[in-house]
Amino acid sequence: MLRTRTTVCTGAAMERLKRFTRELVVVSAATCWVLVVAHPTLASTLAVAPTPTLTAIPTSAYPGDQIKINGTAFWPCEDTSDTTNVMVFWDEGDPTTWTGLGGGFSGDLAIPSDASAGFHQVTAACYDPQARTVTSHTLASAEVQVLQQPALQLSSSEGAAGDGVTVAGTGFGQCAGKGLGDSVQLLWDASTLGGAVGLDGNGAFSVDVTVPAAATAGSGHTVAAECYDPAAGSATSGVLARALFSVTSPTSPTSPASTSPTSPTSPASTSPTSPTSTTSSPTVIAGQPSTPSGGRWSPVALTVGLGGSLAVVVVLLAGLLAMHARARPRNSSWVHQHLRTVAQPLDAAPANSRIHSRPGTAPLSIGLEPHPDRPGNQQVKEITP
Amino acid sequence: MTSDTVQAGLTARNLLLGSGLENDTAALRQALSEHNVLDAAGGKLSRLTGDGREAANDALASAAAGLLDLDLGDVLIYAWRTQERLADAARETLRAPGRMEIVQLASHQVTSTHNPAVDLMVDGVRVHTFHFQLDLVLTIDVAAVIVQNGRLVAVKAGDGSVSGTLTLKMPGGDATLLHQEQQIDLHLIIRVGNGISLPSRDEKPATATGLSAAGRDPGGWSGWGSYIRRRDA
Repeated sequence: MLRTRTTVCTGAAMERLKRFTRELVVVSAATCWVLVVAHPTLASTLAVAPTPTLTAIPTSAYPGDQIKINGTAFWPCEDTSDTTNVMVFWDEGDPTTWTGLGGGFSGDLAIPSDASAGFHQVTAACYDPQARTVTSHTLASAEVQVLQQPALQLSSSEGAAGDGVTVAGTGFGQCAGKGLGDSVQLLWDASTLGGAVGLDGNGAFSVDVTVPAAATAGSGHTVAAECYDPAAGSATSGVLARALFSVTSPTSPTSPASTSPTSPTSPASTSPTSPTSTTSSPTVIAGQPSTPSGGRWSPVALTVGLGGSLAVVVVLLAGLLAMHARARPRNSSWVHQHLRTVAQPLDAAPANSRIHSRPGTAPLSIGLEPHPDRPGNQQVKEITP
Repeated sequence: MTSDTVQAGLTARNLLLGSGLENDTAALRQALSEHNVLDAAGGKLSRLTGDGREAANDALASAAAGLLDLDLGDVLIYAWRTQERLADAARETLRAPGRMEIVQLASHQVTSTHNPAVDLMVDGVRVHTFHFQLDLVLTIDVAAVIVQNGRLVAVKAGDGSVSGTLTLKMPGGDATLLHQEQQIDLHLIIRVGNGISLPSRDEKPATATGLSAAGRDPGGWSGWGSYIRRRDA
C-alpha cells in the first residue's frame, strides 16, 4: 500500500488528481495521501500512468536531414527537480543525452548521413547524468522512414539543341501524396522544360524531352526536377535533384545561304522594262521613282553596267553632302525661325510617364530576412589526457 | 587550414571570412555560387536574369555573413557559466565578499552549434528558407580565471584553438561553405570588462529544452525503483 501511495502521489498522478477533483480541493502530496487512504480504489485509478510516447516530425526524411523528436510522459526519467534526463538512440546506436522538464522533452535529431533507405527506429530510455549510464530499458520508440535521395539519370549527358533526351528520376516519393500534386516539373537551367511529369507509386518517372532550341553550346547546363502541383500551377519544393548536360555544336553546320537552292528572284529584277543589261558584274539598285505613276508608287530596278558606276558614285557623294548639311550648326536666327517651345503643364506628365514592360523581362523583387541564432547550443567536454 | 594566433575581438566572421570588413564576403559568395544555392529555391527565381541572379547571390552572402557576427569569447564564457568549479567559486566568493578564487580549468572542448536561417522572399512572399549551421569547436588546453564577488573578473592564462564550419542544408545533403581553424589566446579574445556574472550552484542555468546541459547536477530520481517494480509486476 505504501508503495502504491508513493507511486500514486507523484508526477502525472497529481495532475490527474487535480482533474479528478475538478480543482475543488488544493492538491498537494499530503492531500493526495489523505485521499488515497480514504479511498483505496482511488489509488488504482490514479496509478494508471500514461505511457511514455515518442513522436517524430516528420516521420519521413532524407539522410542528413533534421527531424524533431518529442517525448511525453517520461515520468520515470524525472529527477527531484522535475528535470527529465533521457538517452535517445537511432537504431539502438548513436546515443545522445537530452534533457527536458516535467516528463517531456523535445529537440532536433539529425538523421545519419549514411542511413539506408527504409524504416528506422528512434528510441529513448532514462539516463542518469551523474552515473553517466542508461538506467532503464527502452521506454518508447518512433518509426522514421529514411527516403531514397532523389536522383536524375539522363539517357545522354550531351547533345545538340533540338535533340531528344530521356530523363529518368527516382526517389521523388516526397512529391507524391500530401497534396503536392504527385508530379514533378523539369527545369532546363532556370526555365521550365516541358510540362508536369506524373510519378509512379515509387516516386519515379521517365520522360522524353527536347534540348531547347535556344540552348547555347557548352557544358554546365543543368537539368533539374522539383515537386510540382499542376492544379496550383506552381512548384511545391525546391530543386531536389539535378544532372549536368553539355550542349554540343550542331554537326556539319549548313548556312541557309549555301543550302538555298536558288536566290529568290524579285519581280523587279525580272521586269521586262529593265533598260539595259550587261554581262559583267551587274549591280541591282532597288528604289522608288521620284514621281508617282498612275497614283501608285511602284518599285523599279535599275540594272547598270560599268558605265553606270559613275552615276552611283555621284549619288553617294550627293548623299554625303546632304548628311553634312543636316549636321551643320545652325545660327540663332535659323533656330528662332524654325523652332518654338511649348510649355507642357505639369499635370499632363503622369499620363505620359507610364512604364511599359519590355517583353521577355518581368518585374521581380527579392527580399532576404535573416534569423540569427546567437545563443546556440553549447556543450562542454573535458579532455582526458 | 591553420593560421597564427589571433587578436582580440575574434568573431566567427573574422575566423571564417578574414578581415571582418563589409567587403569580406567574396569567399562566401563564391561558395554559394559554386553550390548553386539559389537553385534550392526552385523555379521561383527562374524569372531572374543573370545579373539579377548574381545580385541575389551577393545579397544572400551578405545576409549569411551577418549571421556570423558571434563573439567567440562570449561563446566561451556562455559555456563556462555552467562549469561546476566556476559556479562553486561564484558561490564561495558571494558568501565572503572580497575573497578571490583562482580556478584552473582542465583541458576541455566547448562545442557551440548555431542554426541561423535566411528567409527568401519573392514579391513579398516567403518562398524558401536557407538553413545554415555554424559549428564552433573551441579546444582549451589550459585556462586559469579569477572569480570575485560571484563574477569572473580576469583570465590569467590560457590558450587553445578554434575551428569553425559553416554549412548549408541542401536537399541533396549539407554543403560545407566555409571552414577555418586558428590558434587562440584566451586573454586576448575574452573581454571581461567589469566582470562577468556567474551563476552560483544554487541557481539553475537556463538550458534549451531537449539539449544536454553541461555541468548540470540533476540528482537522482527517488521514485525510479518503485516504477521499475510496478512495470515489471
